[in-house]
Amino acid sequence: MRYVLDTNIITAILKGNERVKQKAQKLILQGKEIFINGISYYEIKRGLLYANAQAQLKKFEMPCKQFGLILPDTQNIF
Amino acid sequence: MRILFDFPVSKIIQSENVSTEYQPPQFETETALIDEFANNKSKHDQLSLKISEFVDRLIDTDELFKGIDKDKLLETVFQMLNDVPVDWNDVSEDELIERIKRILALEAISGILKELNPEQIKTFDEAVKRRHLFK
Repeated sequence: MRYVLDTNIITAILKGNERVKQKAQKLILQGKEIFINGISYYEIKRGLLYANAQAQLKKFEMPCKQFGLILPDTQNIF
Repeated sequence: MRILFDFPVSKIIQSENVSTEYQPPQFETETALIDEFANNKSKHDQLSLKISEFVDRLIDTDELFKGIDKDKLLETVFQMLNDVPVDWNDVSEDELIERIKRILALEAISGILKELNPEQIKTFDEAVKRRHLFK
């Protein structure tokens, strides 16, 4: 099964929600495929740019590279 | 008398043997269970050791993983290992490293917004909030 992390899930992890983070980590440990919603990527990036959070912006790029982005025209996901 | 002689002697002996033969208690099942438990525990320990080594290596080599609390992360991962039904024999070492990298990536971004001041958090929330396309 594949999972797509939406904006609210990513925001919860960025804000330090342990329960949400551990749920995602558990899925990873099980070998489930996890992607980041492409639209969510831009939404979070916009938020970090507006807040002038440069260090956070740099850190946020890492999971996006690890998991890969899924765009709305990817038929096999949506 | 006649009835007694007609009864096959071998059967009498056989039945006597069965009834008098000492049957030692069967410990095979218990032993097998103990062996299986020990085997699983050993596999679990080996896996835990492997994960611990990979986490060490990744934290040492990647700058972005530097601030991660290794002990806390390992405690969480080991707890998850008990809950997650995975046949680890089917998981290659490369695949295990990839999974750990992803777990570390989530760990590295966890709580990064806590470093922002309240004004920045407010700006972030406002900017992330979705706008209605059709009003």
